[in-house]
Amino acid sequence: MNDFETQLRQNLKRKQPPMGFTQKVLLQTATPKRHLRRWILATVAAVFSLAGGLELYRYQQGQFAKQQVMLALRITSEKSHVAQMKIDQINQRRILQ
Amino acid sequence: MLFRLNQAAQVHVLAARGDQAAFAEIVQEHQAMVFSIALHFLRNRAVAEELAQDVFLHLFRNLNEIQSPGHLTNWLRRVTSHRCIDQSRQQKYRPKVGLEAAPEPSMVPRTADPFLTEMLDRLIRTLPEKPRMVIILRYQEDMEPTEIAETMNIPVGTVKSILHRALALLRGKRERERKEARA
Repeated sequence: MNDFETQLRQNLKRKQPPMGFTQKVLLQTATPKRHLRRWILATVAAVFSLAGGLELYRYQQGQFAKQQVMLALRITSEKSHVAQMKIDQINQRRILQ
Repeated sequence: MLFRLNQAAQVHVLAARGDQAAFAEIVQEHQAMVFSIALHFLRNRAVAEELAQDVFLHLFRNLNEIQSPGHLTNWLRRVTSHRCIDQSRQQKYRPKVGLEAAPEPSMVPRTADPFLTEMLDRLIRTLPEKPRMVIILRYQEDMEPTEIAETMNIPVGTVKSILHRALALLRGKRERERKEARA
């Protein structure tokens, strides 16, 4: 190894990190706050999405049921109108006879 | 030697089971290595400390992947070198100048030539990312080109060529600076 490489090795000697480095790492491993916060936020978002989805589903089901009832009423009304017309025609024929 | 190896393996097993004291022992044993790679590469003490902490946090979450104390050392060197290169690439877009850019008289050994030490530091800093990391792993960690190739995930031939060219470049720059200083 030549002088230049010896000088490089000397320059690149290992250095100790600042005091309290290990404690800082351990503190972060003991309280993974960032992850906990992320999990809480994700759970709250999931609950809200689920509740919103359920509400939308219920609203759509209600709308569908309402449309079905309206259609049924319209059909009933038309049928009763036709029946009424026929009754009126029969009554008129009887009166004329 | 065998006793030390067994002891290290036991510490590793305990840490993988969540033993905080065993993990603290691992951090203390390897912190100088991880921190120095980051410091020599990034030349910023605060950023290097933050990066070293992140590396150990990543290790804590992946302790189950580690198979032996030797694997642990290689894993730490690999993760640190990759993160340093990523960090350096990010810093190009938002450059930070740390106090470490200035010479540190208190950290320079009295036997070394302060001018030469400062000049070499500056020259290493001018190298592109991969050659800089190769030089650090070679001369800080005393790693062989095959080990560097494995750590940095590049062919051995490339490592040898990078090493050769980086040394030539550093020598050339040093000579030029010396001549300029004399003139």
